[in-house]
This record gives sequence, C-alpha cells and structure tokens, in this order.
Amino acid sequence: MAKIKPQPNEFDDHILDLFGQEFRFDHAKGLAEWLKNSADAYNRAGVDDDAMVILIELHERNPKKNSVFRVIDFVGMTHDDLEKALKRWGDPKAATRGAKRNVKTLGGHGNGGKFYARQSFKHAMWITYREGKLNVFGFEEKVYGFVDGYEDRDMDLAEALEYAGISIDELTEDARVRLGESGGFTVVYGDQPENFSRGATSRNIIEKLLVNPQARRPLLHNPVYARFGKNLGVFHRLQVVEPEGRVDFNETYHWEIPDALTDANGGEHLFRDKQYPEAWLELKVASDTLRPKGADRIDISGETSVIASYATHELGGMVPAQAEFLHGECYCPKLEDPEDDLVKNDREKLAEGDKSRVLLSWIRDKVAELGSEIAKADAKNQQHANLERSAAYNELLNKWKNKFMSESVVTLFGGPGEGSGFGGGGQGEGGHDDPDDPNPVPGPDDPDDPNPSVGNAPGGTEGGDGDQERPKRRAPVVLLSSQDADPFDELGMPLTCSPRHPAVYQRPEDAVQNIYWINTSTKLAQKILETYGADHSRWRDYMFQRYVEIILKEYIRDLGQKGELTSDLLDGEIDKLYALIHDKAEEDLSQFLFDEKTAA
Amino acid sequence: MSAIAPTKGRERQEKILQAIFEVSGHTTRACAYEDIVVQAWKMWPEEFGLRGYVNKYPDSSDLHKPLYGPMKRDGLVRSANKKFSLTPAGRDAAERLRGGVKLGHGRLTRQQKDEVQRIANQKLVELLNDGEDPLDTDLYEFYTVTVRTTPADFEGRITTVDAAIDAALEHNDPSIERERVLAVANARGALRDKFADFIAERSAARERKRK
Repeated sequence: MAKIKPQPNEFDDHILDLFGQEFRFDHAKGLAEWLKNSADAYNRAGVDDDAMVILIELHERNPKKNSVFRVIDFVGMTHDDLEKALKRWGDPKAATRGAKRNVKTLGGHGNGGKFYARQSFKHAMWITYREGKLNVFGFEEKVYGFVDGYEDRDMDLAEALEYAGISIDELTEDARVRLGESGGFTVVYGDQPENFSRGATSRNIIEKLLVNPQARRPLLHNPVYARFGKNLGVFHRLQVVEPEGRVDFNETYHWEIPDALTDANGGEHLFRDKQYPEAWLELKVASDTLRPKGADRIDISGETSVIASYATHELGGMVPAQAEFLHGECYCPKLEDPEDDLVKNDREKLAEGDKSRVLLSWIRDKVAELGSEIAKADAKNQQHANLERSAAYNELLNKWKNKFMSESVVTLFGGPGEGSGFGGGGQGEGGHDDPDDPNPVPGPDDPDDPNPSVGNAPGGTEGGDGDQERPKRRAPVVLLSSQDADPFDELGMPLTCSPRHPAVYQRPEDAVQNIYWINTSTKLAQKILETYGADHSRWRDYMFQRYVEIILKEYIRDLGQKGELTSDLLDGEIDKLYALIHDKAEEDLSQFLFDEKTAA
Repeated sequence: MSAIAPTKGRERQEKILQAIFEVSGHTTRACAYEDIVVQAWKMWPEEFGLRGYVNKYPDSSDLHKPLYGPMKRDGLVRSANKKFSLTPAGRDAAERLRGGVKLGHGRLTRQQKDEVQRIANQKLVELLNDGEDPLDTDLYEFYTVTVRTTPADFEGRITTVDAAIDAALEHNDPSIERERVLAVANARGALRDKFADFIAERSAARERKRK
C-alpha cells in the first residue's frame, strides 16, 4: 500500500464558531474561564494562592449594550506568550506554558477564555504588560491579532497602567502589593457584550459566577474582588458561601468509588489504577433547598479542577425530592486519562458514553440513598409534629367523650347518669360466682365467701333487689400510640403499635384500666397524616371516628352485661347510639370537625 | 377429640352437657341456669335431686362449679348473665353423647372442620408462614378471642382450636387440603412460640384472681 504524504490540517474559521457556541450567551461561564486563566498565570509564575489577586469589573454603561467587562491580574504576558499560547487554539499545554515549575493548572484545552472573548463581545482585548513591554492582542468582529503599534511596545508601568485604564488608587491594597512585586499585569476586557440587555444585570452575573463550578476553586482559594454596576465604586472581595448544613445531617458523606463499575451491557470501566489511585464521592446536606440557585449539584473533579458538573436531577433516573438539598464533589482524575479522556471542551458535562453513564448512575444511587435517609428523617419530624398536634385534639375529644358518656347514660339506659363511663345506672344484682366477672360481688357459692350458704345457688341467679348498683367502671382513657407515655412502661416511653394492629388497640393491662390506644401507625392513619397533616379536617374526623368506635365498644360491652346480645338488638342499639353521638357532635364539635383550620 | 378432660367428674359433666343440649333445643342458644338444673334432674333425678327428696326437688347447688370451671375451660360452654350456652364444640360433644358415641379421639367433626377452615382463610396464616413477626392481635384472631375474653373462655378457645388443629393433622380429611392444615399448624407454632407465656398468664388469671 502506498504511503501518504502528510499535509498540515486546514480549517475554515467557521469551525471556531461551532466550538465557540458553548461559551456564548453565558457571561458567568465565560468570566469563570478568564478567572481560571488569571489563576493559571499566577500558578505559572509561582505565586502563592493567597497572593493571587484577581479583579473583576463589570461596568454597566448607558446604553447598556456599550457595557464593558474586565478581569485583571498582576502577572502579565510577553509577546512570546501571546504568540505561542494565546494565539494557538486547542493547545492542551497552553495553560502550563512557561511555568517555572511543574504546576497543575485549571485550564485544560486552551480554548475557554479565547472563545468567550471571540463569541460574546463586539471587541475583546488582552492588554498585557511585562518586563517593560506592552502588548495588546484581541478580537474585533471575531478576527484576532495585535493592535497596530502595540507589539512589544516599550513603556513604563505608569504609562501602561494609564493605557489599560487602571488607576492605582482604585486598586485593593493586596493588588497594589502584587503589582509592586511583579511589575506586570494583564487586563482582559470585552465591550458591547452579547446577551446583556433588558433585565440582565451585572449583579446577576456575579451571583451566577459565585456558584459556577469552574470559578469555584479560584474563588475559594484566591483573593478575587469585584465591582460592578453603573457606578463602580470600590472592589469587594468575592467569597463562596458554603450552603448552611442541615443540623441532623451535618457530616460529609464519603464513598470510595470502586476500581471498576459494570455498565448495562456488561462492559467494565476502570475508575482507578496505579496512575490514578484515588477516586471518591463526597456529599453534604444543606438546610435549605439548593435548586433555585442551581447549587444542588455534584462537581466532577479531575486532579486540579472541576471537569464537569451535574445538578442532582441531571444524574438520570429517579432521585428523591430531597436530593435538591444535596451538593458535593466526585473526585476522579482517571477521567482525565489521555487514554480515555472524558473531559469536554466547556467542562460542563462529561463526554457521553457508557463509562460516564455508569459513573453517573453510581453517583445517582448514592444521592438517592442519602436522599431517602433525609426523606425518612423528614417524615419522622413531620410525624412528631403531627402527633403533637394530635395530642391536643385528643385532649379535647377525651373531654367531649367523658361528657357525652356521662350525659348519655340516661338516654341509652334510662337510668341515672353518674360518673363519666357507661354502666353507672344499671340494675343491681346479687352475687354470683363467675370467677371471670370483672366486677364480682361475693355470692353464696363463691369460694372466696367466708360464709357460703347452701341452697341459695348459684349466687346472683335470682337477681338483685335493685338497690345495689354495679360498681361504676372507670371512664375510658384514650391515648395516642407513638405519642403518649405508656402508663405501664417504667420509663414512660410511648407505646408503639404495629401498622397491623387494629385502629383502636388494647392490651390486657389496658383493658383492666379501661385504656384505649388510637393506633397512629395504621396504613390509613399514616396516609392521612402524610398527605394532609394533623391540622387537616380529615385527620380530625379520623380521630373522631376512633372515639365513636371506642364509645361503641364500651356500649356493646355494657349491653352484653345486661342481657343476651342478638343481631337485631345490636342493630337497633347501634342506630340509637350513633344518632345520639352525631347529634351531640354536631352541637359540641362543629368547629373541630368542619373548620379547615382550627385550634384544639 | 378431647372434649372433656378425664376427671373424676367427667361423667357428671357429660350429663350436664346433655341437659343443656336438650334445653337449648340442640342449638347453641343461651339457657337459664334454673332450666338446666331442672332438665338435668328430670334426666337423672338420682344424681341431680336434692338429697332426701331426689324425686321431688332438684338440687341446684352443684351444677355451677363444673359449668364455670372445667366445662368452660374445655371450651364446651359459654356463660353470660347467669345463662349458659353450648359452644359448637360442646354441641358436637353432646350430639356424640346422645348417639352413644363416647367422647375422645375420633374423626374430624363438623365443628373442627369449620374451625380449621376459618383459620386457614385468615390472612395472618399466610403472613406468619412468610415469617412475619406475630402480634398479640394475631393470637386473638387465630383463637377468636379478645383482650377482654375471660380466662376460662380464653382457655376454652385455646383447647377447642388446638384440638381441631390436632385432629386435622391426625386425620387426612379430604375436604381440607393437607397443605392448608400444615400452614395453620405452622402459624399456630409461630404464635405459641412467641406467646407461650402470655397464653399461660391469660389462662391462669382465674387462679390468681381467686387466691
């Protein structure tokens, strides 16, 4: 086969428009690129993090379309730097060129800042001064080059500063110090910005810059100042404010990424190896939702900078709503491995493919896991609030029930009403010896009777004389499971019912003391509380119905002690009891039952 | 079937059972104590007559003890408001006695089949066989008792239901699938494992109360 004769690649400038589209329309994203370039310039010069002074200036002019955006650092570039780094498109070594030591830089593809300058402004320039020479290089109508007469132009610093529009008096103190030490500077500026009209403001751009993942590192570690608006005023330090953590989830949740993950097609993808041994995910939980500011995101970091970023809802699949309280970092330098590079030009998202998908899926699982834990805690907190509210309702219903039962004895049994429970007005009975009777009255055959009388058997079957009233049973006490203290628990802990326990529950010891528990764990109770909350009339009605159930149980029990229970008898008695309950409830509990918002 | 425990008074209890069976018209309806006393005396005057007047007057002093005691605990009778009724198991036992068949181990009765079928249809059997942790209310549902069931009735239901399950296990009755019987027995095992102390305590409540 014949060997080809290699030719240099040829490109039409239109290809730059294609690549540059990613940096159009988003000034925060573009300014982050300029910010990173400044930080890298300091890095190459060997300046410490806390001395890397960067100034941002967004001057809104009138008309607004004539506004000017500038980013200033105090390093400066030589003509050679401009020729071999700034002018070259797509050079991955651009960010490290001329470094005094082996440095890790934030820039990657050598494109971002240039594309932003080219695509987003009518004019954009780098005015740079170093070693006594001024160079001005820039774009005009998307064509780049040196400004005529400003290549390696000899100039003293004061004159260069004046040309660049920098007033020493307006600089911050640390900027003046840095300028004094370096004797150089670079101003990158763009005028007539695109997509900056009407409602757009410089303040909004700064706010977006503060949460931009690419700007995060310089903003966290370097002194970055900004001034903006129609009247610029003085520079103020920009600081990233970490979202306030949630008190009950205040730790950093850390997972090691497995060496390899298997995708849906069975393919295995490596995320660590000897060269890139570290890979982890860390998540934090904020006290407020981060979604409105777009801060509910996971930044994917390479060795030194963020190489992609995903809002939690961009991870694919289903994540709990609580994911919008999460933010974090996934550190995985293996993604930058030249053999399998997943870093895209604009560093917004990873290059699509099975490897990125399987990693995002793994991250999503962890987000969902933590989100579910938060959801559980939220539900528990809500449940606690619901139960406290329900306790107040329960107190009101207990009082109403006592009043009702006391007053209703006359109507239901035709006897005098005493006490607050049924059973106070029944006919008296003689004794008998049923050992199971809850209210035994010693009778002639009762073995406990010291003087049994033969021939009068069995005790009480002859009936009492009517003078003796059955001892009154204690009025039922109604408690709420998971809320009220268990009277039989030494530590006074609440009784926890199972969702499978009945809606009204009793243990044998409760029955003896006539205590009833409203089971707040049944599926229906939980559904109402979760869907509507304890304040809703549906929940109040649910509680009221449980009281009706308890009153009915008490009534049936009393009927059973007075005679044989038949279905016909029960049918009629239930009608009678319910009519009475409903009438009384309408009289006494109207507000409680019908008002959408009521206080117990 | 172990309808009546082999005690000294067993024969007397069988007679009382038959007396209730007659008074109730062979049903499970409630009968007044006095009617039972008179019926037993009519059927066996020598045994239930007043000493010295066996053919003239019944003796009402002795029937309540077996009624409230062993007959309830064996699940043969229920009582309420000084009235007594046969349980389905008690009615079955009385029928057998009336037919001259001795009570004891035999084939599965209609009541026992009903009892096992009732339990087999409960959802809790499936849950317990799936390893669900048994609740106290499962125990109540299984034995058809409540938190307020008296100790003797409680014990009676345990005896009756257990006897039905044991009989179903013993006799391969074709009208009940073996698999269902085993599921019921397995559910019972889970309940008895968890609530052995509770059952003993509830059944023994009578003794404690009377001390």
